Amino acid sequence: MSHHHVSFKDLPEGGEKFDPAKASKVIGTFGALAAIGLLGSAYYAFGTHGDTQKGFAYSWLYAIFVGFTFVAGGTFWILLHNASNSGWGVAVRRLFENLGTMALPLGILALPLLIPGVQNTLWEWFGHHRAHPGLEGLHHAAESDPHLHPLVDKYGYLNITFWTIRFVLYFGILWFISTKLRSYFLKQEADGDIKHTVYAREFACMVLLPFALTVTFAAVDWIMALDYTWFSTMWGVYHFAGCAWSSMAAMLLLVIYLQSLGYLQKVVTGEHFHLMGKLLFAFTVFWAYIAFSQYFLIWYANIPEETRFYFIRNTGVWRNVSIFIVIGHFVVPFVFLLQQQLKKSPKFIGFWAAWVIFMHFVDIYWNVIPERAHSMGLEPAPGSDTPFLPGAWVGDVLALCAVVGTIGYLYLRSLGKHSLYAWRDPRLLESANVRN
Amino acid sequence: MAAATDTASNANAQQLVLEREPLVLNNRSFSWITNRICGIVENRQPLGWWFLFLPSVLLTGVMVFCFAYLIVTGVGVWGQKQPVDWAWDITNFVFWIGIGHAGTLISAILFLTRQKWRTSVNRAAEAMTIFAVMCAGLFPAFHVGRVWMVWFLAPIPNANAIWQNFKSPLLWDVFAVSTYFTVSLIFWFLGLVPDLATLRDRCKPGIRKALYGIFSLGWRGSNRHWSHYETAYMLLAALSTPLVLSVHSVVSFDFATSVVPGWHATIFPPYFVAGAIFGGFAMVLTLMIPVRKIYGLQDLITMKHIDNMAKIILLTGTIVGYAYCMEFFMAYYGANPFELQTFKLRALHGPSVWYYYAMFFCNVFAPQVFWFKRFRQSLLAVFIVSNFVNAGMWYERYVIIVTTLERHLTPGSWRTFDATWVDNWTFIGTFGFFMMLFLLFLRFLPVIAIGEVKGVKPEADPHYGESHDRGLQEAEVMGETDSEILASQKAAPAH
Repeated sequence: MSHHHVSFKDLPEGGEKFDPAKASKVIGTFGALAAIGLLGSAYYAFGTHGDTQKGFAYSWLYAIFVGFTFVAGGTFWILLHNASNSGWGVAVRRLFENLGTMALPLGILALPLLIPGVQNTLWEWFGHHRAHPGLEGLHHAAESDPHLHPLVDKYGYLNITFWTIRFVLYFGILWFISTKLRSYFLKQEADGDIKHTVYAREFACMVLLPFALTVTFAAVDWIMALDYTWFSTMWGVYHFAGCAWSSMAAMLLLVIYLQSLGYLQKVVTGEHFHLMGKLLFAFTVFWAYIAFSQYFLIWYANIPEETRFYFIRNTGVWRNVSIFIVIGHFVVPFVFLLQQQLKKSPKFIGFWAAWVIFMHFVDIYWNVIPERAHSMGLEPAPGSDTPFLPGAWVGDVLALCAVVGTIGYLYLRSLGKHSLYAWRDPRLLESANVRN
Repeated sequence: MAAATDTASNANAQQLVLEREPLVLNNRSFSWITNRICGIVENRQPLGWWFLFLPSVLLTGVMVFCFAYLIVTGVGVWGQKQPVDWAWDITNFVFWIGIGHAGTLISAILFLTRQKWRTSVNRAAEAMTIFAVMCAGLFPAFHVGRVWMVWFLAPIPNANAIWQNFKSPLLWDVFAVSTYFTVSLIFWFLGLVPDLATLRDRCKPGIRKALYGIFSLGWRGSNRHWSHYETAYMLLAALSTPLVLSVHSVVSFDFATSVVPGWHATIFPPYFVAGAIFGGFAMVLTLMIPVRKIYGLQDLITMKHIDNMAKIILLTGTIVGYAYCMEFFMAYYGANPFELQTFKLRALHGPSVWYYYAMFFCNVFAPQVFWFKRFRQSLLAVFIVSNFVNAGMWYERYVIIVTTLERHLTPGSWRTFDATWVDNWTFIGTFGFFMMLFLLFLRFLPVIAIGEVKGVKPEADPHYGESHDRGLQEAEVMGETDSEILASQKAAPAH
């Protein structure tokens, strides 16, 4: 593919500033989604009671975790880009940086998860810890209820104080990493010094490990601990795969949208769509590899304390969702994303990016929601073999709208603060002229 | 380190470009590259080669003797006894299979991710892969007891109506490893074809010319040849990539599908793959640091290459460390007393704790020196650390396999493993076998992919020179497609 060779003369000084007024339709849509979602969520949280209200706690956790995967994924891609001294992505890196900084508003949206009533509903262990405070109390209670023994054993990790500290750290670390990384390039835009690129690389290398631990333990604390007896060493890797996959898809859609508004015309080409499409493909396969390995090893070994997770997802209605995930999360995108020429087409890759985001919503839903009816002790309705909380899906959708709408709205609004790409990055031309 | 160069400026602000380091130093010409690499094959070998080759042949003889002794005596000459039925043999198998991962990773995955620095090391790494897989295959083949019956592993209909257990990961291993070996061999050979033609064209008529001629398959370097070659190379790269992951994932299934505490962990597949890449790169460095010195290849295998590989070792070592810690954390968090006890025995008060410490030190702590450029730039430091990693990856497999079985679920049958002299010498012998094959490869085949390494030179870019008026050394900076690189070879003479 040949395109005009881009030189600095072709690029505007100061980069390209996004004007939110140009995108008022989409920003308005996100705002409307956020308004509807937040109002609906407020109704569910405060206007209902009993099981409906409790069930909504799961909806909110679901939505927050979806948001978290996008933000963590955005942070991952900038870390990888800087740490690997990569060049191709300079033209789109700022968009990922901005996504990572959404950790702060997301952290605020996640605050309801600190309410004791919400915690007791979502994570059974919180209730036990509050009913029997301290290690001694739990120990004592475990003598009459052997189910509590695991909580005694894992008290050093699963206790309310440590959990709360970690909760704050997860958002704080993501926000710190992405803000700090972006600040290097903002400084570079002011003074043009190449050293900021080197500093950013050094910083990215140093925070790779804290980042990996953040994603791992956030997934453990929020999702794995929904059933405090269940565990899987693969868990962190599984959710990391989802983070990278979904955020790449979201940014693909964003780049396509920005180009349709007339932005990024010079610096982003079909090559970038191809490259981002290849990474989307790579993570489609990586996710499948991780998901299969986890499922397969638990299925094969067939140990009761491990199989429960898949047991409730492989029976009844959830079985259909499981099969749908195998096909929609892996088989179909795998086949379509294989094709090289199509990955360079914004329309094609845009469609599959949207599909990926949808499937990611389904995947997280499948990870979080099946636990709800079981934890709440609901019985299947007559004629059904799967326990469900009737009508709870409305709350799930509203919560998702609230979080995705709010983050999307704030993200697009804040996009105009800085140039859309790091316009004085010493690798900008390498990125604009990339061929692969 | 990349250099900052003043280049162009638009209206007001000055713009800088961060250049990529050249992958071939001293601006060596195409003919220098051909002469230098072909010279290794065409000239007499340096004394160092013989100093390494003769002991390697001797050790290969020791290995053959040990296997022969095993055949005439029985598998009991190895130290495994209940409950340690898998001992050094499977440890060594997994160790060698792991070594065999870097080659195809460098060839396939780094090719697909357009990492051009791979070109200087991919050939040797692929050769190493093949030899390592050969060493690996020996151990399970002899562990079956009657090695002459090893063909029963293949699903061939036979008179006794004995059929394989398709539910066993051990059988999947047979398929995974043999597929990997076959594809790696084809991939290696395909890459060799243009270089074999170069050697053929430089040879005097005779047996060597005839053999290079046969194996270069009539290569003339025409545009059409290159075009087919690239397509085949790309497809093989794409096919090899899942194989790199599948082989060690299946090896990990040998353990992880079981209900043995310490073996059954869902993270095993990616953890084994990361470990294999880690160990494979360490072996590449162990071999290539002396090779570049002995044959004067410093301009082709530059400190940038060493630096990149050291960074990959740091990264994969840290991933392996993450997996060690995650296993330990889940043993604690999972609150399964047997699992936790296994890890306590491994790391705190079992009979083989020092293996665990050695593993942790070699694999997780030692590579951390690569955070510092000073160590990545010191050949001695890189060589020492890569040997720590070689050792550490062996300890890792020993820890997983032997220390787990030594303290199995029934305390009454606990028994500490002792290696016999046959165990020791068989393993040492495989190093001789491996080195012998590698030295023969150095002697008869081009150790660096001549065509590919020329392709990463700036002047291989079809647009080289056009960009000079813009004041940018872009050829090195830009990612031109490999097809363009190789097409440009047509313009350059074969040697």
